[in-house]
Amino acid sequence: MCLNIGIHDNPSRAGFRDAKVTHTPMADLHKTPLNARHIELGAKMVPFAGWEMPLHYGSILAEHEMIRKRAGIFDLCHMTRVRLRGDDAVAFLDRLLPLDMLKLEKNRVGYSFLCDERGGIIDDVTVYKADDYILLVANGVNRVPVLDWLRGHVEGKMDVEIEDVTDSMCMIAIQGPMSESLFQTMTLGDLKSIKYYHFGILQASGARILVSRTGYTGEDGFEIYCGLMYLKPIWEKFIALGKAANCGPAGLGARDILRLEAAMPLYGHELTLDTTPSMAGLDKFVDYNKREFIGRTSMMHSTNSEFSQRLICFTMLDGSIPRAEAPISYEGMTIGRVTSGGFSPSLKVGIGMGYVDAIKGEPGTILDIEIHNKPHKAKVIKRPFYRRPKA
Amino acid sequence: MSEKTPAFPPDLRYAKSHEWARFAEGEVTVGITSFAVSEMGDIVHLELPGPGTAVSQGASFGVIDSVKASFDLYSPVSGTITAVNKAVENDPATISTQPYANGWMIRIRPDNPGELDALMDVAAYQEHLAGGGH
Repeated sequence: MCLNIGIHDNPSRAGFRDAKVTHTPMADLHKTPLNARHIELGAKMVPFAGWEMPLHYGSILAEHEMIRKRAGIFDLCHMTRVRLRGDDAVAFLDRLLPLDMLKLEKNRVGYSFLCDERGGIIDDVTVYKADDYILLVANGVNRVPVLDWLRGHVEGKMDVEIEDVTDSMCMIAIQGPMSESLFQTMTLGDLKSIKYYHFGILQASGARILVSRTGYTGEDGFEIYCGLMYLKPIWEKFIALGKAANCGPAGLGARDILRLEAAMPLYGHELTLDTTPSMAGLDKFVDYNKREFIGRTSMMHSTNSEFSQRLICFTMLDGSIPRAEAPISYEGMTIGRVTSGGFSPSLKVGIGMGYVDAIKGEPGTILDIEIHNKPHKAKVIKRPFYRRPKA
Repeated sequence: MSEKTPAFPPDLRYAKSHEWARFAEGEVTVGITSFAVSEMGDIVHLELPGPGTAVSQGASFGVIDSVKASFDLYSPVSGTITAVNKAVENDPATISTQPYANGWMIRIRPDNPGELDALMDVAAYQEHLAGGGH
């Protein structure tokens, strides 16, 4: 076996002798302010999106269970954070996003996409509309293309200031059913008042922090933004408080499986320049009827174009585990490829997502996934794989 | 899995690809090393061929999956599989805890036991690991 373990920004199979996995040397990677702390906590550090990030702190399975049953904390400082200010900031973003920026209320978070003229996805983003600025959170891997795209669309007289605040505004997430009760004990201000995809400004460890009820795990939880000097106190407070409840840090390995079980897309896998929101089954996040936005025309005519494939979710019918890039076939004909795959600890079975020719994507359809050169039966299911129990 | 210093029994032969081979009573027992186990993380799936299957030195004989990734297993010798450890196929987590004992995977009747000479002894394997193990 060839042990090239990591998380890949783009689809590639890990660990095969013939795989050409190119990694940035560890020394050239960005480090988050918590880097040394992760190593103290026993993390296995891997390159991800140009950053050295914790893959796990001992066991991906244990961290997965911690988030599903209790709560855990993630370092997300590698995500790209951009602050937009100025009188035209709302109108500027409205022209770039298929999200109605005029209708988005203050203190709400919107999920949207930056798309090119073809409707291809440059990145998926969350947008926070605050009183005097907009915070746009993009993927770590897309820091340069996102900033280039934004800056490239500022025209002459527009009053819009675009600032990369990735290094000054830190980001962590607390996720899992116990998130609210644990985080409430270290926060001034009522977390219950923050509804799903809303945010508020609260106080913790003496700092003003931005807290949204959002996440990437399929569980209840919060994403938290704070100044650099408050990051470590907040992190340490959670680690200390969490100990008694068997809660602690979780790495990217658990995060990837949690989001896959929740059928949430990952840039570089389900979302690329060659996919549209519609292909990814994310039409509900596209307001086709608002004002013109970049990519709209192409997206409205995408059904009979190069973007005709559709994203499906499937579970394996035997014990095998699908991985990204595996061919998907139907009655002997290759009809697509796996974009993400893995073992679901919640379902105890191999699960995956992939793009196939639309006609073969109906739930219940039996497909073959090629795993190590052998076909294995899988069944298309209605997304997601995992839905959290109603509180 | 707790961080432990990997231990490597001195009576085994080792492949660069982290499989171990134990030659006894005309058969070669095959598994993966504690280094491989600690690098992979939680093991969740193992797929092995049946007895009677022919294998070749350096060629894939099975698949092992950790939570994060999938790996080919390479045969340390050429020959015919005489036994498969069904217990680890059903509960591959055993490989994590006992990689050299109950975590064995297959037994092979080698075509040419001399092929074992191409594998490393424990000192050479440890040197290989010191160089990164790739």
